[in-house]
Amino acid sequence: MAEIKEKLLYTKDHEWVETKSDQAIRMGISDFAQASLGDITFVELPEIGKVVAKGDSIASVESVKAVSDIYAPMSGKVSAINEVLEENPELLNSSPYEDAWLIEIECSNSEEKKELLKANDYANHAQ
Amino acid sequence: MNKAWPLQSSLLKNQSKKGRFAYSLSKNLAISKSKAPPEQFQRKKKIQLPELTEFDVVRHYHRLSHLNYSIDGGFYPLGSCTMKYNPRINEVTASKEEFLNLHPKSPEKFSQGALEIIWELQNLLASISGFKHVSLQPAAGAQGEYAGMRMIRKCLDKRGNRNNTVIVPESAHGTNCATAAICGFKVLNIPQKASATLTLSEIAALCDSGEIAALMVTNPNTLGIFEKDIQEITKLLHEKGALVYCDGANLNAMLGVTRPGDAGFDVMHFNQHKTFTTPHGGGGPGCGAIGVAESLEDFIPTPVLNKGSEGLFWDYDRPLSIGPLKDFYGHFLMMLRSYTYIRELGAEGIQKVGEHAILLANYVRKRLQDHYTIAYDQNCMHEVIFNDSLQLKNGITALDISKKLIDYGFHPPTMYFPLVVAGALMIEPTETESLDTIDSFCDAMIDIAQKAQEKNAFEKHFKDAPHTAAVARINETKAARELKLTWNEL
Amino acid sequence: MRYLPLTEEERKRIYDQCEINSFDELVDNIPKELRIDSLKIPTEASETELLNIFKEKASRTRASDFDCYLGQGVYDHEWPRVIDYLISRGEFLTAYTPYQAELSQGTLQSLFEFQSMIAELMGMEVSNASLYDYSTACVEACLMAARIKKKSSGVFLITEGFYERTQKILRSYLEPIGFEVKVWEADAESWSSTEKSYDQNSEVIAVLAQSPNRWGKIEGWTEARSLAEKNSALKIACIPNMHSLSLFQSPGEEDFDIAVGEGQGLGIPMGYGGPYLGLLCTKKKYIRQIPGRLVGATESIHGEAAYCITLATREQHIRREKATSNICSNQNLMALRAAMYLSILSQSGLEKIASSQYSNAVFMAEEISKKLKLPSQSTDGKHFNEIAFAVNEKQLAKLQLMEKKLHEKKILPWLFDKAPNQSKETQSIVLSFTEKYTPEKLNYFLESIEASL
Repeated sequence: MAEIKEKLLYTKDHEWVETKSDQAIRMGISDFAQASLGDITFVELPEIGKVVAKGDSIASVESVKAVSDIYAPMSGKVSAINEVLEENPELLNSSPYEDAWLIEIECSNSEEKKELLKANDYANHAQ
Repeated sequence: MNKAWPLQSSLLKNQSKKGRFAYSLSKNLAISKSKAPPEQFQRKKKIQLPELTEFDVVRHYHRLSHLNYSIDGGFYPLGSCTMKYNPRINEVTASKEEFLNLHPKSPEKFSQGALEIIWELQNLLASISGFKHVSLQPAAGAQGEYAGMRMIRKCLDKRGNRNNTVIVPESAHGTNCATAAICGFKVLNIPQKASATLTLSEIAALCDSGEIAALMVTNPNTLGIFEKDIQEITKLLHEKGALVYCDGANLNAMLGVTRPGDAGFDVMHFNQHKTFTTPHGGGGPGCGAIGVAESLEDFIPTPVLNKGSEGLFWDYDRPLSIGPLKDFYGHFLMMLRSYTYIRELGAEGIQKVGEHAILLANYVRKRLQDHYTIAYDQNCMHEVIFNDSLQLKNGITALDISKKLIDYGFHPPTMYFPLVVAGALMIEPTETESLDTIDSFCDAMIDIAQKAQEKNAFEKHFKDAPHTAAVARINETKAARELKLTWNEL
Repeated sequence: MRYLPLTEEERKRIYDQCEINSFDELVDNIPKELRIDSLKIPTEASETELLNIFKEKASRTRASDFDCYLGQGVYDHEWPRVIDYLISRGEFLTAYTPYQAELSQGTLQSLFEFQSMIAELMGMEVSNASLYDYSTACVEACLMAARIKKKSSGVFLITEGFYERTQKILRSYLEPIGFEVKVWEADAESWSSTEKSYDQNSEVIAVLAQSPNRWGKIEGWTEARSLAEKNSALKIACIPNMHSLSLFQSPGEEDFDIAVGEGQGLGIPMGYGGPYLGLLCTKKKYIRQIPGRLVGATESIHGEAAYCITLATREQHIRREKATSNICSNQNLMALRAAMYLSILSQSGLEKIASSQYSNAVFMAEEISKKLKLPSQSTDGKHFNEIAFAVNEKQLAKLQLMEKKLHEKKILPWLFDKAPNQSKETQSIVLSFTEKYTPEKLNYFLESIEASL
């Protein structure tokens, strides 16, 4: 049974969002996502400063036999990336919510937060 | 390292011993005293290759060969790969020194025999496929596909047609999309619906949304089913000013049954290493070709083989051609093999190939349909698709089934393709396999299906399969996470 | 029809299993007007008939029996005959692509060894498992450079010394998708590109240098390197004759980003144009942008050394439109030949071949220059096994006549080519020498030239 963290928000594409402050969020992929991908071999992260719109492809995650695009849950500018995943992509399998966060974004439109799913709603969607 | 049969062989580098050598070179190679090139261009860091005897090399490759499954050794039920027997007479004819030792820039006057073989093979493939022209230059299917799409682009440009979208069924092989993208097209996927084949109405709807340059379609499609509305579809697309490309990977089903050129395709690629027995060689070389209709004949890659007053010659004077795709004329030494095969079978034999392939595939369908869910429950052509949905109920996947099949002495079928069928297992028997082999294969698949129904099936039978191959399950994740691509990195 | 084993009895069994009475019932969904019942091709042939057909065709392919001094990327080398024996083993010949690693360790280990030895020759960090041929490898290198620099348009600067066919192929692939191919001219003295500056105002993605070049001249990697650095461009080395790397600087020694080559000279017959062996090497940091198959080392679950295809996520069957290339195959059987060739020759065998080719080229350049009264372009010693002579229009006509006379002596003496734009002559002839052409044959060549004057 995939783990879902109560305090986080989610997207239908299995990304999780943590509010860092009014304007800043941190994002990653859910336990359900990492389990479906299988052993993760590589994570491609964007450059710091990249401007993205909600729904744009912002990163990609590779396993042996597949590649998955990760989409920006909100619009804004990339303010930080988790460089530890360069050498240790397997962290995404073992710790998708903590050690293997992907990207931090300075949001340009906080209204978009309303469109994210709460933990309960995501639980229904993922099952 | 495995101490029992079959024996493995450590890396050549590890077997090297200073001073050993394997070559045979004349003492008198140089006509004059040795000179050295100017100092500033000389290589500084000396090359280091293994030093071995010929015996070391022979033993090494013998041992490596024992670790390979091959058509000679066993059945490959690989859908869409057409792993049929590679006749040995092909190897004899393709090894004639007169053809091995011919430089591609030899004067045509002294190369007419070789040129005739190319000319005749072009004509044989044209007759078999129903296209007006054939070019044998493409190195493999993918390059043939590239040629076809480039020709389509050039033809449209010449007509002043700026449309840039290519429609591709979702069930298509990934190469179709990659090729379209490399040629600068935008790809629009046609979603797979319950129907196994394309409908005229869905194509018409896509055309109405405008900008359609071409359709790329595999026939029979990747589900193993003939696109029955293909004539109407090609007609419609031509009316809209678009062109149609045929992915000829499944041509084996058609030999002697129907001809793609008759259905209105503008261009098709051949995979001679599938349909016409040029050897797979462990991953290549392939041997491509393209069949070209009159609509695209001006754009054929150069040089084009032409007949003049003094015989056959290479014609570079083709102002509308897309240009050359690769160095020289194509994989000539592979053409010798397909030419031998087609001449050996002749009209009588080629006539029967499609029929036999289709009979065997439907036999497999009937024997297995009570044990595996069939993706599309209708007559198939040369290949049939099942999926793992029945076995998944007990936690067994297509991957598990495939790895287990190795323990029965068979190479797995094509897995997880086409992507539109979840957990797909695509089986193509080919006409060169005996019914006995096919029965053994079906027996194995049925046995596996029964094992998959048992309690604790995964733990009991499938975990870490194969259990009896020369090498145990290989860690592909580790290979991707810790990239080691040369022996210096070990 | 010995490759169609179905007997009448077995056909009946299939009909019963499928509950049909005839084959036609299985294909009744094919429109009647598309069905065929015969093919207009010749009747079947027996093995003897086939052998006779081939014998007859071979008898009219006499050029293969001539002494061949033609080169420009395809060379008449000897190869150790044991290679033919090993390569004909069914386990290599008829094996499928090694997607099922547990069933393909023979192919995979030999490819890993191939990658290792090619990277060693090129002096580079990594090699892929091969591409189709030299010119398409040059194309793939350009596309790779564009991906690395994230550019969808821009200029590729190539030395004038690239073969005419390679230049055509580069333009053929690159121009339709928005790139420009510009030529960096060769100078009139050295017939190589030495000019250290290039004035242009569009972005140069990469500088490509071919060495040995079409006139057999060695391009100094340092010139290409400094021109690339001035333009913040990537450096791509293109090597149509891998034997040259025994004597001359490897691209790795000059920190090139990508190196491509032709492996035909490594144990692969000339075979009237193919199949040949494209090679591509690069720095490990660019590995995710490399096209074509890659084999990596790993372990089995029992900890034994094992090999498998890796980073397949770059390839078309997974990445589809975003793939690094549409290529599905590698030239596996040819790569295997090359790996065997390199393990048999080793550096000492290669060195013997390379130094004798070089010495013979030096000698023949002098002798032929005297006999034909043409100035040699190879006096600076900056060549490998191929030499060139500048030719004006009047001399061209004479040489064309002489060529016919040499054909009667069963010699293919040279290739005609343009001369560099900057030289005052417009044409040239190019000759190559391999280890197959021993002093005896070379003397016969010189005598034949003398006799044809």
